[in-house]
Amino acid sequence: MIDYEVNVFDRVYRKVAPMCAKGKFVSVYVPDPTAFPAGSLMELTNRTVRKRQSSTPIENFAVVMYQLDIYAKTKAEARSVLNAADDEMISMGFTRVGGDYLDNSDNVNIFRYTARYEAEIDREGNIYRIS
Amino acid sequence: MGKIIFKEIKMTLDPESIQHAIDDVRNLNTDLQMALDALCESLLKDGVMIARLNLRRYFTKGDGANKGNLLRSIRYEMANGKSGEGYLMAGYPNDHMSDNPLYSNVSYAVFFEFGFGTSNHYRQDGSRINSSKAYNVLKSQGLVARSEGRTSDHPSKKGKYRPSKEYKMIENAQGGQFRGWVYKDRWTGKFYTVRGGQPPKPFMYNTLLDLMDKAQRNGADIIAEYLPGGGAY
Repeated sequence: MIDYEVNVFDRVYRKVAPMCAKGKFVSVYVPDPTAFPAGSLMELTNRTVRKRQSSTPIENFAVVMYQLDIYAKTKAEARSVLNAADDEMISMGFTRVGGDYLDNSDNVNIFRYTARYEAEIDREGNIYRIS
Repeated sequence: MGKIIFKEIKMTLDPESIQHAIDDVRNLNTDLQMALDALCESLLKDGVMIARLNLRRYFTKGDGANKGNLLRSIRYEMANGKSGEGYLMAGYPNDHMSDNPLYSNVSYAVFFEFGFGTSNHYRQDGSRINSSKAYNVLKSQGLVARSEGRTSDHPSKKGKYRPSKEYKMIENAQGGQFRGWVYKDRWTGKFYTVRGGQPPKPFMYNTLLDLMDKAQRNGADIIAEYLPGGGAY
């Protein structure tokens, strides 16, 4: 399986973690962050690209989708963290396929921004934009 | 991936032949529009089934949404007046269907897809909220009743089922805390809640990928059926 989640997360983490509360930028879903700003970046989908498969017994390309969630007390705070994360994702070669202020369903006083990114990754970890 | 073969259109400089060619192009245009509509509808029909299957993968035992309301809300609509365009939908954006016992309230579909955000266990300052205590206070005020699996104490007004409005009241009463969706199972008559603190379950995104794959593999065959004199290989 083509798995570069750690590399992608690590690159965004280095940029974004200092802007978040201590230890609150993570790669798993945390339902109860105890401090803000907080965020998560997770690989939600990882599929083999069928048309790029050959007869060799390896996976050549995978299409991956990441979801970025930012939680903050103010919109400005959420936006600054989001911009830092987004710049890093775009510079890696991802395409933002969606981005919205979604309600934080249980506590609407917390700003929540959700964005999704997709790209194709080859076996060596090179990232390609999906046309 | 299939390729489409179009019918050959030939003409000479004879006016009659030119007119024939013009008619052929117009017919081809009409055929193509019909083909795109057929392709779109075929994909959307499959999309409903695929989305339901994708959604079922995420259901767990005891999950309130495992009662079919969200499943039943997955549907498609062809766009009016636009050739080859349609929409695959899950849930309802507003609460306008809340009174419909068949669909109940499934405005939480978007939260299933993208996640519900943080749960209500902590305030902004980090202190923990005793949600059951808040619940009891609200219950004593007649604003809410513990709805999981009960049939009798839902705070409906005038016998009408208005779940989301009741929950908005709860939200206001608690200053933005404590929010959720409640719906009635039409078979058992019991009420169930869908609450925050759940991770994203991208059932519609995966459906999109499935449909793109399907369109690449089978799209040419469906289009070719509507092109007389043409075909696909």
